[in-house]
Amino acid sequence: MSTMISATQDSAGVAVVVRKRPRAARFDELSTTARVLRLVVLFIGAAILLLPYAWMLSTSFKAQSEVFSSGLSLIPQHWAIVANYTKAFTRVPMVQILLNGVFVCLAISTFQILFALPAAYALARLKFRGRDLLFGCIILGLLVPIHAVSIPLYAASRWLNLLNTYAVLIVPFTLSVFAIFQFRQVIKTIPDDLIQAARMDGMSEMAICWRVVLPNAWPAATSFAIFSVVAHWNDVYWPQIVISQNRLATPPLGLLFFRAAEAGDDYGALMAATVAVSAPLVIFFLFAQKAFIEGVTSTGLKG
Amino acid sequence: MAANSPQLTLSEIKKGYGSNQILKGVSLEIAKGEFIALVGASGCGKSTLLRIIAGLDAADEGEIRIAGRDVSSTRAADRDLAMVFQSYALYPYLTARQNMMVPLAMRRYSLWQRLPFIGGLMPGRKAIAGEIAAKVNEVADGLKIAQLLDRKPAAMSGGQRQRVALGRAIVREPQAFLMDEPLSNLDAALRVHTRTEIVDLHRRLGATTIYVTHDQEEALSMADRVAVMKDGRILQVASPRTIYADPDHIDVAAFIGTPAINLIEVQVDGDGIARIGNVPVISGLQEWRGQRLMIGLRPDHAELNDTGERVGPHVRLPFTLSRLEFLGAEAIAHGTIASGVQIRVRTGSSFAEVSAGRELTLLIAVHHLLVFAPDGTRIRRQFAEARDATQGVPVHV
Repeated sequence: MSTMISATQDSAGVAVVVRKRPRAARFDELSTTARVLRLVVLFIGAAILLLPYAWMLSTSFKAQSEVFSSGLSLIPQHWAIVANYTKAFTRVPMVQILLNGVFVCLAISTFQILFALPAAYALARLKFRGRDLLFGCIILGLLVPIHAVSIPLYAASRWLNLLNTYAVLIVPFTLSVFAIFQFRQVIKTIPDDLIQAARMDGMSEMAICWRVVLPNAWPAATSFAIFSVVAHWNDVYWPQIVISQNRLATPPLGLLFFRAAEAGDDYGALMAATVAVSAPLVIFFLFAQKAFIEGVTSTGLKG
Repeated sequence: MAANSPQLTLSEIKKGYGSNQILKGVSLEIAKGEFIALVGASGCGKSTLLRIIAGLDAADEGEIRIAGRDVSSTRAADRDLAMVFQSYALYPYLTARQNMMVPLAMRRYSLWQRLPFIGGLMPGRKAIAGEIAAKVNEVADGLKIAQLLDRKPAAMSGGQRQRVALGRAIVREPQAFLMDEPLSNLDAALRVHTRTEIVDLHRRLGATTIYVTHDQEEALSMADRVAVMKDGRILQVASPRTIYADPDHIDVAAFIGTPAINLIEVQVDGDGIARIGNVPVISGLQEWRGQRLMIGLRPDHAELNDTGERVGPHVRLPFTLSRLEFLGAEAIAHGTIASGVQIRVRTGSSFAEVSAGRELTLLIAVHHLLVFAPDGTRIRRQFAEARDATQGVPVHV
């Protein structure tokens, strides 16, 4: 076992010797067998989770004849990448659909944060009559799923002539009780002195919200934005109710339209479309992973 | 004060939370350029009072005037005061320079000029930005923190953060500085050093300063005037010298001074003579016949003597030494006088040789004694000579 000895100086200027044990030391102590065993278990777990994705990718490369062949093989004998992906991008306006997804998800998470942060700040830091009652209502709101209110929401959208618009995809989700709740908990932990210093420095409550609270709540905001983007990118329930045109479809809805257009038997092309729809999210997640984990650990919420 | 109208006036400030009355009517006038310390034990209401002055908390009753303007219902941002917090309260995600720029940016830029992205394009912003940068640099030079300007608070020591917090307050040139125990998070050596710096800074800027502390030594050494608070009231406001030597109230006497003042309970006999044990100390207390009074004796207003020989107006009391606390240049003798009353006396360090248990004589300079009525208020008068009834010898004065 190796140890590192480093001499540092504490605040009083007294030299102190600090022994640091490198983090890898614990892993080194394990016997080879234990390490192999551990890796094997992890590998099997990862393989089980990745298999459907691998199968999806593999199918998207295969010609139709091979998809329905009796043998199981991940590597295609006859490659049909170009044919499958060309179909996926031409039968439905796939690029348009992906851009719809990006636009809708960005709009939803931006508005959610824009509305939730001041609300959460008010609930956490300002004193007003009925605040606790209001917060109770928000907690209650957490319990209501979209499915319970979808019929009234649909009726309202119809009455407002909003069906088949971007607005109807975005507006119902701009107020997130979950975001308000999560931000409130984070804002509660911001030191009182910091908010008061901002007041002394001449900031209005709104300025405090954006200039002091947002930077402090940044990890929570990022993790919330990731949750929100994932949820709304994958959402098929609400878009299916309010959208009936290809050019307004969000990615999963586009997939449904594609399957309908193909009568559901060209699995190679369907999987190519599925890859196209899920890839952006996977890439987004890989990039946002660090912020995501930080956000989850800093708010104590388990995803 | 008439010619020079006060910079800050508090009249009958009251504040309570539920049934708990924190401030019970506080009035105070602070002159322009004055350094005033609000001192008291924790829970006396001093921090609440500062927050009310700042506008961070609203008073239930009373009026606050700053430079003649009634600001009782003005929000904190518009009172033109700057505050230094105990925790420094720097914006953790901004550098020292940006921290110091915030108060100027919030006041000098218009709403449009403050907007992100497009704010920079607004006319006139560039000129103001230049002025702000120049001002921040000037203040940073004055505080010797120019080399820290591009660091974030996390990369600074406590003392450095403290300076940046001071800098953020200074750049704005406010009507007054409010300081809420700004030194209590620093280690002892740095605290004494920074104390001097704040006093120098005050002298240089001549800015009105209200300084809240629980440390009476800080209050005495820094302030022009000290306001001693207890239980939501100001007991006395006076110069440090007066507060120490001539307190109005027993609580002021007890709070101020290290080591703490000796408080000795005395019984006034039928002739108006107060005795400690059976030694008469003060006479002429006819009004308080039969009552118990408290006598305050500062540890430095008495002397120990092992021979008992002394010329001059002193009362002699037998003193049994129990412990000697050696402090280097001086020593504190702990012992008992008549009827087991504990007394602390400051002595020279040469006294360190004397062993515990020695019978000594305590010489008290009677004109330094502070006498307090049963309600705690000071009895101010020239006390008449007390005679030792058993010997018929004049004892003092």
